[in-house]
Amino acid sequence: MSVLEPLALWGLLCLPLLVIFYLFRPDPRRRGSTSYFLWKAAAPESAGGTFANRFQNNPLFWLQLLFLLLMLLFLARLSTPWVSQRPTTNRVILMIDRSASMAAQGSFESARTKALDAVDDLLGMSLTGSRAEVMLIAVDSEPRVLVPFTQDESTLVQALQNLEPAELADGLDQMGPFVRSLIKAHRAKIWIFGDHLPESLRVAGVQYSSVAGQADDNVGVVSFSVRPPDPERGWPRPFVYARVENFSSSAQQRLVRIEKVKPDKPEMAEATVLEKPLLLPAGSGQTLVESISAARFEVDQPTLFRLTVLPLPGQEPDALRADDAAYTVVAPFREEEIVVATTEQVNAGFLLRAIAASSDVKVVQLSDYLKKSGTAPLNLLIAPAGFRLPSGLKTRSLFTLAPPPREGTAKVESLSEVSVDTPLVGDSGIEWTRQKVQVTSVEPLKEGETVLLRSATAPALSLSGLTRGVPTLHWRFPLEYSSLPLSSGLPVVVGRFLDNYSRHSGVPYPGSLSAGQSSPRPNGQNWRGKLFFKPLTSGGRELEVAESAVVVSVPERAGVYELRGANEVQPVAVNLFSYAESRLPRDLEDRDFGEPGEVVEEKATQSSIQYKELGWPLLLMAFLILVLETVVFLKRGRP
Amino acid sequence: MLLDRKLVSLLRRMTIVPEKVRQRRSSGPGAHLSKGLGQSMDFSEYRPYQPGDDLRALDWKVYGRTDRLYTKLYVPEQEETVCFLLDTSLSMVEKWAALKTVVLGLANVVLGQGDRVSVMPLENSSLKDVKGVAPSRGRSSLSMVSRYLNSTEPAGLTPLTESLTGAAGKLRRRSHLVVISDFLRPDAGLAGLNQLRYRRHRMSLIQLLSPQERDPGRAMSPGEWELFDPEAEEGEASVRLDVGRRSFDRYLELLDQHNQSLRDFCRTSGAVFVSATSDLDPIRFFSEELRKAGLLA
Repeated sequence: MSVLEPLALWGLLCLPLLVIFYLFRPDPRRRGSTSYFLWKAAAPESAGGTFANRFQNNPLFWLQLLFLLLMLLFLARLSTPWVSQRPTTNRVILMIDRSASMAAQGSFESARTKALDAVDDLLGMSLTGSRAEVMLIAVDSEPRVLVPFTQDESTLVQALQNLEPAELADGLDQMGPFVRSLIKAHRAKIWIFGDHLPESLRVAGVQYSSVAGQADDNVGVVSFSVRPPDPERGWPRPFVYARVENFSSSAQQRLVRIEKVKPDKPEMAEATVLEKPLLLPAGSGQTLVESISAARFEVDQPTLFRLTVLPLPGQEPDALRADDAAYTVVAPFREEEIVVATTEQVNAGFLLRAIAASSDVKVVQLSDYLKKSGTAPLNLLIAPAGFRLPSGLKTRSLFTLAPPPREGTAKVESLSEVSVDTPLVGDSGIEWTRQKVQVTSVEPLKEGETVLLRSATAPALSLSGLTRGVPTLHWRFPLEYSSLPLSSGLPVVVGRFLDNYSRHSGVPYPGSLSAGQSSPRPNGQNWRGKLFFKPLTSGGRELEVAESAVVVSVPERAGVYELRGANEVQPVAVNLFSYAESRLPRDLEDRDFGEPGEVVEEKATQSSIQYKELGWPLLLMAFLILVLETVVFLKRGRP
Repeated sequence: MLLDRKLVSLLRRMTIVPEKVRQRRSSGPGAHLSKGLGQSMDFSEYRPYQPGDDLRALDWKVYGRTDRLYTKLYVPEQEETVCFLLDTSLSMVEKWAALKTVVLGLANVVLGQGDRVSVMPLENSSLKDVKGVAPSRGRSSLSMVSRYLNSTEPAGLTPLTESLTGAAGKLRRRSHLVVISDFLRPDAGLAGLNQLRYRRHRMSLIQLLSPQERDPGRAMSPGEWELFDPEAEEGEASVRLDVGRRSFDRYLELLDQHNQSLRDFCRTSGAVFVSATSDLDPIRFFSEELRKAGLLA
């Protein structure tokens, strides 16, 4: 409590006047009454015998005293200090969803228009003295502040006009804590422009403006690859593997078209490889596995192929077209020459014989290999225990054999680790293991018998079966390593592999892949050297990948990119699929969850000590006392 | 003092209700007035039987002869003396005019029906003429009563109980006593009234209050008052009171209790009690209130 006008307290001197008035008031009225004896019993005796007693039992005196005191305090401007909780400015955060689904049916354009209108409403009438501050945030898989709090309308308008939808997943579901912290920290109201509003964002301080379209006919390509022929597995022709998903709640029919395109002009189709209608059940999809003549995919260099899902004649195009096309790169079909070298000390035991007998494997003496190929990486070296690798020899795997078996029995005791800097993926894309393998001594193989070369962790080499008495050698990899078979032309995954959103596929990049010590499999997570993604389909910026990057950044747009290494340039297809985005529930209603008052009251962002005058409460109390005094006066008569 | 002609005309048609009949009237439904139905042994005349007549008054011999019922009427026992006992204390000053009207009106009725009237002031040291008016009959008595009332000015103190007790001693002959006072004494003079009752006097109590006494809000406002008893000696009784709205209600409640004690006395002693204010309407008072109380018919 503070008194802002202490001089007014001089008015306290008038209080004695009231006391004196009551002390010197006239004597009570005197009257003779025959019914004196009745009056004596009917009314209490007055205590007004002495001066002091005149103040007792006289509520009028005390009410008047209180009234005077209140008026004095009012004139003295009694005030109380308080901490101001009032925000200094009105703050509004415009949050625009620009995820892939916003590309459907012009949703993003609607959101942009609404946001521009909001900016105009908040800042356009500057002459009215509006103090609103506006922040602009674009949200896809992550929030990005485009314009911090500003009152400059032109900055906001320009940022909104430059904003484009991104083909990224919608991250609004995870934005709850972020939005609440925004409201709390900035004492701001958040206007969200999007096609859906998750439960976590339905909090006080949020206003949702729906721009969702109502169409329900979305289909999308979720997988597309071309597998080269593999005679060993009985695939003499290349395979097209594609999966088209129907995200809508009704059956859809589409036309699937595979085209060969030029990397520098992807919009131009060189040739149509396949065209086929597909009937897609509601909420499900169809897998397309087509064996196609190798002549259609025969290329002399890595070449782009595009899969497009087209509406049938007379059909409306998809509302969400981000996933209506997918690209893949097909490398020239080449047979892999797998070279297994042996040293002179190694007898042609069972293992060697088996390897030598398998197809596509060339077994050479190490001395011959060194003379012929020089420093080219060797796939497998079988050497006796204690053998020292010649300097300059790069070997992907080393089988260390036990001492020469007696009576024609060979035994592999261990598989040594190769040198760290040896690339794990060969020219054909085959990935070689660096795991230790314990080879058992089982010979001779009987017909139909399979022997697994045991390993602590897969993958491993295996021998399987005998065909006309000749064993066949296979490299086997567990399924969790890749959904695609290992063969030459294996797509290299440079982004998040088997992510629920995106997959980037391309051709292996010779010499550019390197193994990290603890890198997660499968292949291609760690890159050595600088790589650049140069969009070919939508001209613009290059994406530089840091040298030490563990996971290559994902380009924002689907399309064909140029993967540029030290010496070579290869096309890379980047396809974006998102189950979550495609199945997003649309929210068509605008919502307002109230002012952020409750949230922001927890903590004031700006507080200052101010004085709040108690004038009105004092006046009100004085008035009430005056009314009370009147009532008492009417009841009791004159004081 | 002359009474209003209209009032006189009214009073001529009225009589004092005989005590026995009054008692029967008050005994319940079926009671009725029978003119000249006296209780003396002197036969007056026959009258055809009317429902409600005392069956004891039927003449069975006449019935035997004529086969018709006749009631025997008797001459009233004897003439009655109506004595007005007047409170002449200082508190009656403002009520004196009303008192005179009441006394003259009733005297008019009494004398009109051939009875005697007397006036006796209650004991008052300040009075000059303490004898009052001796019992007398005839119209001339009315002027004597009037003269007395006009010549008397209320003053001083009348100790109600003592003066009524004194009157009881003086009135040897059984009479109809009409006591007119405000009865505003703590004991309402009941002890003195009992003395009169023991002497078998017929009694009628007429209470005259000033309008201020009946409705104190007319003269007093809430606040502090110093009240004193005007009949007490100077400075003897005075009290300072905080009079509020509730005090008025409480006063009326106490006044009602006070009057209730008088009513109770009258009920047990067969007396009449009438309370009126000094601004009374004489016509209404005689024609309604006294008739309703059973004093006049």
